[in-house]
Amino acid sequence: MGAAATAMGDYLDATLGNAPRLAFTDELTIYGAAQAHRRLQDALATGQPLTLDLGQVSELDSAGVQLLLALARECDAIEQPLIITALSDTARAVLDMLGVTRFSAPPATT
Amino acid sequence: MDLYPAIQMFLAESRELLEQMEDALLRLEADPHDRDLLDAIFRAAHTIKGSAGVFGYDPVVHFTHGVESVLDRLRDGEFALTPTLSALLLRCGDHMGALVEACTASETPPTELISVSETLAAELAAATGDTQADETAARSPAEAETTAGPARWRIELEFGSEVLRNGMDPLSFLRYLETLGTVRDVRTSIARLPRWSDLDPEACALDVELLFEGDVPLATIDGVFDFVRDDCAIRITPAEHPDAETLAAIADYPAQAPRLGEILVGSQAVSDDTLRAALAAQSAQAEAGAPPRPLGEILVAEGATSPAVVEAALERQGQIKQQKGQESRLIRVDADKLDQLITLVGELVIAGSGINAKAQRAGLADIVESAETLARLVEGVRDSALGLRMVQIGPTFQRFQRVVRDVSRELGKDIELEITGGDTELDKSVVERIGDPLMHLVRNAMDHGIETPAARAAAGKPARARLRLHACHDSGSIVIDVADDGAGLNTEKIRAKAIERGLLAAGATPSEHEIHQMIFAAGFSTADAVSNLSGRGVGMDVVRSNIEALRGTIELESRAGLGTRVRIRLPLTLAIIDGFLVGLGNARYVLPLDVVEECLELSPAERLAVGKQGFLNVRGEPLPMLRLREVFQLGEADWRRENVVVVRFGALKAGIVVDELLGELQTVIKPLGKLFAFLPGISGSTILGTGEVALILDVPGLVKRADPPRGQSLATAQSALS
Repeated sequence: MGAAATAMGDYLDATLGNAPRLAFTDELTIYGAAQAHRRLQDALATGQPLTLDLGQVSELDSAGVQLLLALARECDAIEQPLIITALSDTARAVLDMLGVTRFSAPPATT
Repeated sequence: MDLYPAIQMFLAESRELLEQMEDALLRLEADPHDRDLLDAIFRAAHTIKGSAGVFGYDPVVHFTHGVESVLDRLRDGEFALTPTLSALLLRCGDHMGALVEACTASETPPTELISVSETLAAELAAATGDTQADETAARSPAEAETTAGPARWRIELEFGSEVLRNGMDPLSFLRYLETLGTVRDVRTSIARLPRWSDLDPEACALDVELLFEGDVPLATIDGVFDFVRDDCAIRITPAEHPDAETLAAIADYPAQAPRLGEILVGSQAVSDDTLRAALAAQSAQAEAGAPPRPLGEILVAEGATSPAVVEAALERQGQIKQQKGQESRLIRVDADKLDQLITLVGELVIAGSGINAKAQRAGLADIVESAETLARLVEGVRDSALGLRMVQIGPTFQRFQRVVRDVSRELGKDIELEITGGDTELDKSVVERIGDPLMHLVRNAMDHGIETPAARAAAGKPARARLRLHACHDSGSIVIDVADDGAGLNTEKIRAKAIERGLLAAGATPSEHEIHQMIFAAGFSTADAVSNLSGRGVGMDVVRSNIEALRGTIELESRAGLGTRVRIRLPLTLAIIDGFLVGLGNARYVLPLDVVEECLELSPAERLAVGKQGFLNVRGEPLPMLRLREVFQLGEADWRRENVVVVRFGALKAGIVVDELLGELQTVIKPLGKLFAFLPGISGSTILGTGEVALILDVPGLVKRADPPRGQSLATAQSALS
C-alpha cells in the first residue's frame, strides 16, 4: 500500500501542472449521474491523466458505481491514466459490497 | 427520479394482492381443502413481504412474515383452517393493509399499529397452538427438512435499464439479502454497458453475481426480487445439491422461469452441469441434422433423473406458462392518461361531425363518402376508448362477501350473499362511486330487511336468508339490484312517518308503491332503534342523491313478508353518447338514442287530442305526452307539423312532442355550469358539428313529469280510450 501511494504521489507531482483534477463532494447518485457524466466527459476530452478525489462523497449508489466503472473502463481503453486520490468510508463500503476492487487502492484520506 | 412512482406501484399492487387474499380466504371457508386457494393466499402475503422488504418497510415485513409462516404451515396440513383462524387471518390481512398504508405515508408508522401487530401475532400463535410464533419459529418443519443446514445459492442478476429510473437500487437488494443470510463473493460487471461516449448514466446495465448462504427457502430468496422481476434477468441456482424432496420443490417452483431446465435445476432435481451437458448434447444433435430430442428425454436416457420428475416439471412448466399468459395480458395505465384520451376522442367526435355536416352541405359526393368512412372509424375509436375505461362490477360485488359475513355474525343472522352478473361492465368512474351507496343498501337490507333466524322460522321461511346483488345491461343503462328475501317494508309505518314528517297529507291515498319510494325522501328513517350499522341519520336520501349525481335513478319494490328489491339504473358512461337530434324552432335538443323507441308524425286531429287530454292513443295504448314547447315555455310557433319521439326509461314510456326530427349524431356531453346545474329537464349541453350549442334532455326527469300519477289518471286515460 505504502509503495503504491508513493508511486502515485510521484506520478501526481510529475503531471499536476495541467492535468484535470476533479473532486466529487456530497452525493454521487442517480440524481446527479447525468451531470457527473458531463463533467467527466469534459475532463476526459483534455486527453490528460484524470485525477478524482472521492474523499468527500457522502452517498454513493449503483448509478454512481456504474459511472465510475464505466469511466475506468474507458480510461483503460484509451490508455488515459485514472487516479483516485481519496475514497470516503461510505463510498468504500458500497464498493466493497458490490465487490468492486478497482478503486480501493488509496487509503480513505490523503 | 424519486421513489414516488415505485411506492405508488407497490401500494396499488399490495391493495390488489390483499383483495385477492381476502377473496381467497372467504372462498376457502366454503372449501377448506382447496390447495389453489391456499397457494394464492400464501403467494399474496409472500409478495407483499418481499416488496415491502425492498423498500425497507420493516413493520410490514415483520408482521407479514408471521402471517406467512402460519399460512405455510396451513399448506403443509399441519393444522386445519378453523372459522376462528380464518376470521383471524382476515383481520391480519386488514392489518397488513393498514401497515402498508401507514409505512408508505410516513417513515415511522404510529405505535398503535405496531402494538396491534403484536396482539395479532400473539393471537395467531394462540390459534395455531404455537408457543414460538416469532421470527425464529417461522420455518415449517418441512422447510427445515429440505434445507438441512444453511443452503448455498449462486445468484446471478442482470438488472434492466429502467431499474434505476424506477427508483430501485441494486444495492438495496444486496442489503436485504444480507438480512436473510450471508452474501459472499459479490462480483459486479458492466459488460452490457455501452461505451462511455454513448453512455446513458441513468440507464442501468449492471450484472451482479454473488454467493448467498442462508437458512431460508428458495421462495424467500426469489421473493426478494419480486419487484424487479419484469425488468431483470434473475438466476438462482444451488451452489451444491443436498438431497431434497424434489417433486415437492418442483411443484412449488416460483413462477418466473418457463424453461424446463431451469425448473429442474432450480428445484435441485438435476445439477447445473448435468443440464448443461444435456443441452450441449441436444444442440449437437440438432447440428448433426437429427431432429432434436426433448430435453427431458435426454436427461432420463442418461440416467440423470427419473421420468416422474420430468413429468412433474413439465406440468409445472405448463402452469407457469398459463399464469404468465394471464399476467402479461394486463397493463397498468394512469387513469389521467385515459381521461385525456377520452377528452381528445370527444373533440374528434365533434370535429368529425363538423366535417360530415359541411360535406353534406357542399354536396360533394366523394367527400361525403369519405366523411362517412371517417365517421364510422371515429365511432370505432370512441367505442374502444370508452371500452378502456370499462371495468367489471364483479370485484365491487365481491367486496360485499366480507361485509355480509361479518355483519351477519354481528347481528346473529344467517345470510347468504348471491352474486350474479358480475361480468357486467361499466365505466370505472361509475364503479368507484357506486361502492358507498351499495354498501348502504346492503347494510340496510341486512339490518332492517332481513329477520332473525327465529322470526324467519316463525314465518315459515328458511332460516338462512338470501341477499342478492345482480347487475345487467338494459336499454343503454346498467341495472343493479340489491334484493333480499326479508320482511319487506312496513307500509303503515312509512305512511305514519311520512304524515308525521309532513311529507304526505293526512287524507292522501297514494299507492303502496308510492309510499315505499318515500323512504328516499330527505331525513326519512324508520329504524326504531339506531343500530351500529345503518340508521345513523344518513339515510336512503343520501343514497338517492349519490345515484342521481351519476345521472342514475333508484327505485324500490317491496312486498310484505317476501322481501325488498332496490333497483339502481345508471348510464353506461358519463362522457359520450349516441344522440338523437330534434328541433324546436331554431333551438336544437339532443335525446340519448338509447331511450328512443320510435318516432311518429302527429296529424292535426291528434294534435288536438294531445292538447286536450295530454295523452295519445298509440296502437290501442295510452301514451302520456309532453309538449317540449310547453315544458320550456317557448310559446307557440307557426310550425305546421309536429312530431313525437317515443322514449322509454325503465318501465315508463312517454311521447315527447317536438317540431322537427333531425336524426342521429354522436355527442360529447359537456356538463352545465353551476348556475344551470339544477335546471329541470336538461342534463347537459353539447356542441354540434355546425358549432351550435344543443341542450341534452334529461329523459328520466321528463318522463317522470309526463307520467301521470299512477293509478287514477292512467285509469281515466284507459277508460277514455275504450
